[in-house]
Amino acid sequence: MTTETSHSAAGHAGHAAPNVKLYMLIFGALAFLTLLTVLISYIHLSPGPAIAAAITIAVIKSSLVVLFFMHLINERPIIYGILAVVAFFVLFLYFGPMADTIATSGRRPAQSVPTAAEAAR
Amino acid sequence: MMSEAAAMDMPHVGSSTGVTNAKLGIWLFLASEVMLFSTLFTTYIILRLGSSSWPRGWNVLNVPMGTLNTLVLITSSVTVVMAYAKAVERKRGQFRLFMGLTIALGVAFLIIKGFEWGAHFKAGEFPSSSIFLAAYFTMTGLHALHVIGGLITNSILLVLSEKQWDHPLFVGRVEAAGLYWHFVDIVWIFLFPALYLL
Repeated sequence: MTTETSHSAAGHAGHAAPNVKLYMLIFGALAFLTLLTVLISYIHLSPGPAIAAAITIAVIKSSLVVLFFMHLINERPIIYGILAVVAFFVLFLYFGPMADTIATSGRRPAQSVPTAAEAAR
Repeated sequence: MMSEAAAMDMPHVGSSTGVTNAKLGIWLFLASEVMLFSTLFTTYIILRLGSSSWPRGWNVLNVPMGTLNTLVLITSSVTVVMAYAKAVERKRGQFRLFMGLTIALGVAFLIIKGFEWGAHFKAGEFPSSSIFLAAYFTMTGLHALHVIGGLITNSILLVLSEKQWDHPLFVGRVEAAGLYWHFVDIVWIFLFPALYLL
């Protein structure tokens, strides 16, 4: 009873209300997905499918952490607003250089970065 | 009990935002941290795409140790959120137990990472040895610094729980520290497959 009233008070006062059973379920899912990632890596897929599988599982795992451990699923609009701005810049940061890299990859040979000793010469 | 808890926390909730100042501040901080690690990830991907050859992670790095560290950090995410739950429920003994476990798991993560780094150094593998190793040491090193930062914060909260348990801002501080620790976990969730498994 005390726990319930504390939860309620916490939820109304700007703190997220905890849910221990849910935390345990998410923990199980995270452990399973970690082992799944490692098992998939032992198949030694070619880079394309390997990257797709690894990124997909990483996104699912991080979403579980953000939504339930960080309580984003019950968060206030201002937090969503902050994260929307972040998401925009992250996507820009990723797709901007990536578009240039992909567009010019066929037109120039792969460049090797000189070592410090080579640069000094 | 309810009125005490509500009265204890209400003054610290921003009237226009609906969230505590601590929570708003930590989310803004995490937003800047996301940008920091995103630049590193983008740089890593571009370096990899632009290189004529690139080692597969499992040939260079210790996958079992990386897997163990992932499980350690995921477990610490559970213990820190349990510490927060116990702070909300006003159960100091259990809060201290779970926060102590979180700190222990964070230290274990650093020790395992230290063994990995030590093995590389013994083998003559340094950041200057290759672009891949430069990226590996930079990204895992920066992440380890964040783990150390989280350990310091969590340790301070563990000590403060002795005398400041009833401070009106204590639960908010625990929540903010927990959010930071989860972020550290999320960064590793992406680092592990990117460096070790691809």
